Amino acid sequence: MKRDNRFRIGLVIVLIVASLFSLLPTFRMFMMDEEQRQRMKQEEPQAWKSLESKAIKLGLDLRGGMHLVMEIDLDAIPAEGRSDAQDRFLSIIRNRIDQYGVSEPVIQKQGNNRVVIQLAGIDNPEAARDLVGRTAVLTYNMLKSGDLVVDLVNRINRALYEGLVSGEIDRERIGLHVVQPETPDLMGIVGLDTTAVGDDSTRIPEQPLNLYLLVDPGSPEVLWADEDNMAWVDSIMALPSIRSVIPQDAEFHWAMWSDERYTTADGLRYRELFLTEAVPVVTGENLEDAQFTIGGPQDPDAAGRPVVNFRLTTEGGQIIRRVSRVNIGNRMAIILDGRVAIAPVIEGQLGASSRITGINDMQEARNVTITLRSGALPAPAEIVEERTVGPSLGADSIRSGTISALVGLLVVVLFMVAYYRGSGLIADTALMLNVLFILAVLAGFHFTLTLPGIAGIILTMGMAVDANVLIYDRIKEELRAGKTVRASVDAGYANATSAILDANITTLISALVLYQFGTGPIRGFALTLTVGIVSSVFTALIVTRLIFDARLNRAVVQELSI
Amino acid sequence: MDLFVNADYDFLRVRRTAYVVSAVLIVVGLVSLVMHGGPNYSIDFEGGLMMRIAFEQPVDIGELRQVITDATRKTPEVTRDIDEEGNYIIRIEQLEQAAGQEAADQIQVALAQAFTNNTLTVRSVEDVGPKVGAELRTKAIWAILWALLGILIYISWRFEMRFAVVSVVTLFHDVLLVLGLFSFMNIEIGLVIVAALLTIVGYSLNDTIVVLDRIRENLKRYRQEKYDWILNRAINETLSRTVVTSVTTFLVVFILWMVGGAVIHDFAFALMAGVIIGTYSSIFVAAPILVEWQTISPQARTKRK
Repeated sequence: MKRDNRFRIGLVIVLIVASLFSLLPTFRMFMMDEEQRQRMKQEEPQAWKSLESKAIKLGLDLRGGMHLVMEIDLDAIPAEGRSDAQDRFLSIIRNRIDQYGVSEPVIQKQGNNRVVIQLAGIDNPEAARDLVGRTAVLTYNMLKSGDLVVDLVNRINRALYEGLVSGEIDRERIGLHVVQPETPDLMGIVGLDTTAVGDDSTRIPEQPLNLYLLVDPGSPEVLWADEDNMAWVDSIMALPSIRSVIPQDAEFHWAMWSDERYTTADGLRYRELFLTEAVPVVTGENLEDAQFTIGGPQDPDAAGRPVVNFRLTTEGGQIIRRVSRVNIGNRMAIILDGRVAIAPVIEGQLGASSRITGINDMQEARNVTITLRSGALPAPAEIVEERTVGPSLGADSIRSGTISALVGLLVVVLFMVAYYRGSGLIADTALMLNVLFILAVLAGFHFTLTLPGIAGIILTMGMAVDANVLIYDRIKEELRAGKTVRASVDAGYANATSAILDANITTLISALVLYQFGTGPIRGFALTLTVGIVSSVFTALIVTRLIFDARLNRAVVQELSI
Repeated sequence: MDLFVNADYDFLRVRRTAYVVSAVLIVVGLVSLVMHGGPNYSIDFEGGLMMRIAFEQPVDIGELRQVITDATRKTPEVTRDIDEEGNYIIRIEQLEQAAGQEAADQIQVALAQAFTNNTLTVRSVEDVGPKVGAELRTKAIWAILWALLGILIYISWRFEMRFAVVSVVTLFHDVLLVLGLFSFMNIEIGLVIVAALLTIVGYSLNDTIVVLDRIRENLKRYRQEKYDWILNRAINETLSRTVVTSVTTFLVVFILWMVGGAVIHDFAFALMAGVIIGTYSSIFVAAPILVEWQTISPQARTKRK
């Protein structure tokens, strides 16, 4: 009797090819050394991001990093501020972490009063703790006029140019060797010397800042930058010779979010940069509350559009009335922790109760409201759980985990061959496929590999052979009972199936419970164990069966090496 | 290679001895647990601060402890970390909420000042508030109970109630033994060890089920034979498989224990203990209980499933 295996063979081949394909980025990434990675990160940030997102993600316990759980003290917040306290805290933390420049931070709600923060590759945990623990600062600051901004940009350009000519400023220090120049024609700017960019270029651009920032002649009070260039702009502004050019009473502030109007299809994201007065008009202490609504049908400025209303204290109302009267037509920025949430134009005299219109959508209205409330109703929080793994321990864990896995694999492979001879090789093939499938699932579904996860893979290697052992022992029994090879193989598989399924499903139950219960590293373990169980049943019942069939179909086998 | 071909050991004959062995081990474990005032929880379940640090040159542990005591006014527990000379683990129990991070900073500063000319690296810091610790403990207990319940339901459905009860009793036996062993050896029970316990539950069951599956089959095949003969035959028929799987699994977790590094050391140890205990219990505990049960309240054998 020959079984029709065409469908199964096709399925296995598709799975193997798909697995290899899904692991390609991981191979590529792990073949690079640290220097190559850093280089790619700087020179091709888009390609790096895409590679990083497709490769197997390492958990904080392997790459080093910080896991924080913060609890908001709801009892310390007045009743009207409790319902969105968690959202406010979340947005404060997001905003700050964004400034801190951590790649792929995880910031999530937990329960109704906790926030989980995961930061990879932190080398200064103290600073990170300080960052999340600080009280939020909200201020309203007037924007400087467009003339002033244009003038300042020119002066910075001159100072930069002179610094580069005299050699006082290092090209690499400001990223001239790697910066992706802004597209000059986007804003109609001409004469930008992009040939001055690149590793081997020695030219000095006459307007260096314009390579990083866009000036819109139509509204010169706002500058723009590609988000990948933000860090370089910050390092330029921090240079002593540039700092001395910026007037004492002015400050640069980035926008809190990227500007969606300028997000291009190829993933370039732009941020606004504002120049504001250093002295705020009012602060969060003067703010009582904020809410957002939809403008009524009769509303001349905001019919059917989102509106954010805010209420100031009596004192704050007096101040803003005085300031707004002389600033009609100018813009005022609302700044939380140094980032601008929105910078509306003052259209008339403001009072204690005022409103912001011209908001794009409900999402923006919600964000602005949360920002305002963050300043008005601070949400005190404290760290209730911290787990920080330094980069050295992470690297140690990767090394020892990999060694254990390789040695474990080798030992099991040799043992199976020693015990089952030729059939042992078939089981070993299944074992290798198992490891391949587990890794492919991790990469393909963006799961995180942790140290216990590696342990799960190792454990699976020990346990995965079990299904084959069950089958082989059955086949041996049938052979001893005098059946032919073909009949023994058939009976072996048939009789072992129920035990294999029952035994593995119960292990699956505990692995699933573990996944539900655990966080971080343990979840990683439950995950590899779960995938390992499923794939080991598959390889044992389908793959090894195919190999046996292939051998038995080709010729009449009198003796089985088992 | 063939081991245990036509094996015919009378496992059930020695079941009384096995009961005694199990009972003694469990009692020793329980006594140890009582003497230690309950399980030795790690900071995961009790709250506290744990730091792994590394000095370039090894230092005196007593001095290390003194410096930390002076800096934090708490008495720390300081032990050598297993992987390298100069690596230490510092534990401080039950700090007030949010004081752990400050303590970590204080300790780092104090150590750097006290041991000059010796580079200090903080390898990891774990700080769990007492409230979170208590929550994690509750969650862990529920996780174990849910897993046991899920298994009980599955086995009752696939086999019969009797088999399900026997499996779960065997599991309790295994977990109890491992807990006792951990208490005896003063190993801390934390989140990772709970993960190991659940894995042991899965593994031990895996073993038990293979035997039960054979018993189910043999009960149908040999209707005329005596109950304990059938059970004994099932154990013997699956003996080769039990041994081979246990050996491969033991080998890999042994390797993990040897070279897997400090972080995973206790986890691997728990799994090693679990493999041995799980294998033992599926042969010497599960089937014997079925036999006793059958003796006390015989079940009709004609029932088909």
